[in-house]
Amino acid sequence: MKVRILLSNFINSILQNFLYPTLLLAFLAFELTMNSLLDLNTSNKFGFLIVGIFLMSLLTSMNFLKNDAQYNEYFMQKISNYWLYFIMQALTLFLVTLFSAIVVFLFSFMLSSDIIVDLVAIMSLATTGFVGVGIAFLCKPQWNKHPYAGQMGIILLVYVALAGSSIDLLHYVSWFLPPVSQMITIFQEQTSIRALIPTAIQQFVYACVLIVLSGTFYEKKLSN
Amino acid sequence: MELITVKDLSLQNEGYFAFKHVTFSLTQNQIISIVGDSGSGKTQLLSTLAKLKTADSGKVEFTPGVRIGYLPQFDPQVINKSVRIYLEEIRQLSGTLAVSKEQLKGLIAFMGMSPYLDRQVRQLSYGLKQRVNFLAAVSGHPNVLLLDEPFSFQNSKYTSNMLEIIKDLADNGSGVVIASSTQDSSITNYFDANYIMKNKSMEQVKDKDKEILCMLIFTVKPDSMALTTEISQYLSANVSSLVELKIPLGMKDAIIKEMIDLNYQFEGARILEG
Repeated sequence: MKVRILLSNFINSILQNFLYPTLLLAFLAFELTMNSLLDLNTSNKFGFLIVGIFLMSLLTSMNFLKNDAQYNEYFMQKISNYWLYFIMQALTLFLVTLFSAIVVFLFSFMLSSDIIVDLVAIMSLATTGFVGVGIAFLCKPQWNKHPYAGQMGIILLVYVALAGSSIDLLHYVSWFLPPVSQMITIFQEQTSIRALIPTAIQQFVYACVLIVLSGTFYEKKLSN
Repeated sequence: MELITVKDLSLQNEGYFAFKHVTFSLTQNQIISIVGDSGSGKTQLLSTLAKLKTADSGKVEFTPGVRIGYLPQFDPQVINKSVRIYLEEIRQLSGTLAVSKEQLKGLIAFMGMSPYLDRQVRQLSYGLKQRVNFLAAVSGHPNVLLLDEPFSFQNSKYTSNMLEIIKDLADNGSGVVIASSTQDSSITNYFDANYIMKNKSMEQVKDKDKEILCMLIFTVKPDSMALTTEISQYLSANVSSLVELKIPLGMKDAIIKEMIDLNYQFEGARILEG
């Protein structure tokens, strides 16, 4: 019962101000015109999709967490279970990101006859979106007590996520950086979707670590 | 049995005290009233008791198994569900200990919400939303009920109905805390303990129980003069040539004499219980 109520509330929060459907439709429209406008090859096109889904899931998650902080202040009291509430938040955003990844990939017209390749491509897009979700979760105090620290965190993490692999100085701490640009460079070097599996797994683990850190750091202690 | 024990509780928001050194306890069958001006820290205190905020110092001890029902003074949640579905969902959240479906139906009718059952909660006026939130808070049959400004936007009928429900809960073993910025003298009889939030601290109003009030009734004559400022502060009602003054018993003789001097006809006096 609690799970159903949480899921319906969170889906409402995501759709509340139409940011997510607007972003998704704008992305799909861009995808449809991308071929004729930019004349891209597959590797460049996939790079665009990676960056696009990362930004879209980041913005969707930030919008969701903002709505949650603004409207659901007393909702958690009714649920009276912090971890269930938190896990359902993450799960809802993961499901929305997975849906976005499937739709975005279908509209990219990059479908191959090999279903494994298609699945790996969708998984790579989805895990990239999960990293965006993780970053939004880690910086969620921007909607509460630490607006400036949260916003600076977003700027910094987005920068290192997108430019990390092209900065030599950051090579030694690459395991610490959000592996988004790494996904693009690996695909351009290998030109094989299957080569993305390790990075996709790395992205999934990275996103999970960020979300667990966020849940632990910002846990609402339900006692005094 | 004590349901909540609060010891020397303090909370700061960005360097300012929301409240400090609050100490009290809530027992079964007890209704506590907290009165204080806007910004005195009532809402922050109730949020802390509802476990939505963590105090900076002090301790709140909850009896194991305590179930809290909380009515915030304003709930910003956008609820796209109908009143019927929303209240039923909230009732089900509390599991087997919640009021029964039939009892909830009765409570909805008692609070005058039956005509609005199929309306979306977000479309309702503030007053109706307040009643829906009140019903949501009591539908789980909580043993601790925290109500923040429950009577705002309500007329005397629904204020009285809310108090009946609160009294019924308290008689069945729950403890209730009601915070409000003003308190109508007609509802003070419901409270077992009165506290006042002043200078961010909470003090118990002990003298109130000892103070015996008396109601004096006068009729206005054609040559009656205007009431003096001193007497006006005790004015309870002034309707249809009838003036009612609520005064401490000790002042009875002096006030009657002064009113007669102002050409009012003394009709009678009665002691106000509680």
